[in-house]
Amino acid sequence: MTATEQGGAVLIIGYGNTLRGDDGLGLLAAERLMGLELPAGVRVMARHQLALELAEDIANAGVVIFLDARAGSPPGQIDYTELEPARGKPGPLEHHVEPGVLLAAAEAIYGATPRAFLLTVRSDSFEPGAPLSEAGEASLPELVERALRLAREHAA
Amino acid sequence: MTRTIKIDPVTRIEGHSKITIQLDEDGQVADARFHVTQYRGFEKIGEGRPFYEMPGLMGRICGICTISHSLASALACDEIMGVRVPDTAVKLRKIINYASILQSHALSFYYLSAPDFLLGMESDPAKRSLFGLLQSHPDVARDGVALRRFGQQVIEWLAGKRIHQTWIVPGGVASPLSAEVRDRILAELPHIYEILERGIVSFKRSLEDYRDEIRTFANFPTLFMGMVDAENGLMEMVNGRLRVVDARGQMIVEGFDVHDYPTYIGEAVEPWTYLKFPYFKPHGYPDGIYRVGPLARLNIADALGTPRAETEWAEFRELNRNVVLSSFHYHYARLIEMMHCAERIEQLLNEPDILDERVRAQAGPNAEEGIGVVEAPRGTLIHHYKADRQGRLTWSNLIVSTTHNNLAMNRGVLQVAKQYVDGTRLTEGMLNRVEAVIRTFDPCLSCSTHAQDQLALAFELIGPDGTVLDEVKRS
Repeated sequence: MTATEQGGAVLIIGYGNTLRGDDGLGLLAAERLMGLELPAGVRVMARHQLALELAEDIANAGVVIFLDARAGSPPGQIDYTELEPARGKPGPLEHHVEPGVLLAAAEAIYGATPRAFLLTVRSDSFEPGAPLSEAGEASLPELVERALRLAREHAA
Repeated sequence: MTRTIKIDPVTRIEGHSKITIQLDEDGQVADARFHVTQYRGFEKIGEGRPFYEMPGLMGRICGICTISHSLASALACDEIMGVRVPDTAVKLRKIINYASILQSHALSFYYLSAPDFLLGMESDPAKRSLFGLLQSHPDVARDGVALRRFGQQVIEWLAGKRIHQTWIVPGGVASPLSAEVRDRILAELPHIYEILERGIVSFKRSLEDYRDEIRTFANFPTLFMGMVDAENGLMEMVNGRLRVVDARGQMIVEGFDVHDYPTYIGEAVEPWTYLKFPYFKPHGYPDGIYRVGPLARLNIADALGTPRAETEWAEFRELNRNVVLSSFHYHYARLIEMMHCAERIEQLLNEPDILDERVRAQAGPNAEEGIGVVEAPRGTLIHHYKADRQGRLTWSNLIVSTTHNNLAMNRGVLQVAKQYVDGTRLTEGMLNRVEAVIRTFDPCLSCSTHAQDQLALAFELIGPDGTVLDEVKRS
C-alpha cells in the first residue's frame, strides 16, 4: 500500500487493463494522481479490476470516485454519472465486479453507503496488446483533472 | 430409453466445464463424467523463450494461484542456473506462498462454497451465491473478505502487486523485506486468528447437518499425496519431499525426491476432456487414483508444527480415526490450513535473518534441466523444464494441482449422482449436489488444462442398449 492508498474521506479508484489499449485509462489516471499533491483526505487506488475486497475501503470512505473506460463514441469523450448501489441486481462477485454491485456489497456487509461517482472515457480501442489510442491518450489529462476537481469538491 | 443430463456450465469454480450424467432405461444413473472444455497450452507458450522469463510468464496461467506457479517456475529455474538460493529468500518465498494459499482458500470457502452451507443445497439458485450470502449472512461475508484481503495485502506488500507480480525471480526474490512491512503484517495477525477460530468453530458445529454429503461426496479409498519436510514429516509447502499414503494411513512412499516424480506419477489422456489423468505409476491406471490438496496434506503429514492449527488437525484426524476419506472435508481442511498459513507467516517473520538484504543469487544457465515443485492451494504443483545451452526453453511439462485430482473428481461425480440423481424427477438440489462435489476439490481449470499430442474432444450418441450409434471426434 502506498501513502496515497492510506486513509481518506474521498477514495478514487482507477481501474482497467493496461494490456488492452484504452481499457487501462482508469488505472493510468489513478497512477498519475498518485504522483500529484492531493488535497488532505483524498486517497487513490489503482487496480487491474474491481474486486469484492475493495468493499471495506469503499465503506470507510465518504465519497468514492471510480475511473474507467467503456466502449462508445466519440472516442475520448468523458461521461460523468452518480452511482447508486445495485441492490437486487446481483452480478458475479468472484472475479470482476461492477461499481454499483460493489457499492451494494459495501452496504450489505458494512452498512455504509458512500456517495459514488463514475468518470468513464469512451473508446473503441480495447484490443489485446494495443497501445493507448490517440484519443485515449489525449483524454488522460482531462480525466485526471476532472477526478481531482471532483475530489476537491467533496474533500472540503 | 437412455438419456443424458447435462450440467453446463458448472458454476462457482475457476474455469469452464460441464458434467454429463447418463441414465439407464429405468432412469437410474449409469455413468457420469466431468468434462473440462477449455484449453490453455502454457507448456507450448514457454518453448523458445529464455528460462529467466518463466516465473513471470507461468504466473500468468492463473490470477488466483499465480504465486504458486511463479514459485514452482523459479525453483525449476534455480536448478537451470545451478545456484543456492539465499536462506532469507527461501523464507520470503515461503511467506508469499502461505499468503497465496490463505487468500485462495478464503475465496474457495467463503465466496464459492459458503452459499451452499449457509443457504442450503436446495435453496433458490438465484439467491444461492455470494451475493445472497452478503444479504443473509453479512458477518460471514465480512470474515471472508477480511481473510482474502489479508492474503492479497501480504502479497502486495511483499511483491508490489496482488496478481502477476515479478518479485519471485530465478535465484530468489527481487527485493528484501522491510521492517515496516514485517511489522504491518504481524500487527494484522491477531485479527486473522480471531476470524479463523470463529470460522472453524462454526463449521465444526454445522457438520451434523451435512451427514449425507459427508457420506457421499467423493468418499472412497484412494491414495493421498503431498509434501512433507524431509527431516521430520511436518507439513511443508516448498522445498520438501513428496509422500504417498494409502486410505488406511499406511505409508506407501515415505518421501520421494521431487526429481523422481516421473517414476511415481504417470499421466493418462481420455478423448472427452482436456484435463489429463495423473495416476500413481506403481499401481497403474486407473487403480493408481490419488488425491492432493488440503485434505491430502492433512492426511499425509506427521504434524503441522504450528500450535493453533495442530490442535485442530488432531481433532480433524479423529473424524475417521486416521485418514479422512470424504472429499466434503476438503472444506474443513481449508480452514485448518488457513490457520496454519497464518501461523507459519508469523513464525517466519520472526526469524532473526528475515530482514537480511541478501535475497538473490545471480547466474546464467549452468544446467539444461530443472524441476520445481511446491504445494499450491489446490495441491502439488510441478514445473519441469528443459533448456538449451543458451538457456532457451526447449520443452516443459506442468502437472498442476487440479489435474492430480481428476480421477477422484470423476469418480466423485458418479458417486454423488448415484446417490442424489433420480432420472424420473430432477430437482435443483440434486443437480447442485453434483456440482458441489466438484466444488469440494476447488478445481482451477484455468491452470490445469493442456493436452498431450493432439487436442481431442469426442461427442457420442448412445442408444437405449448402450451401443454408440454415432461418434464425432474433432482435433
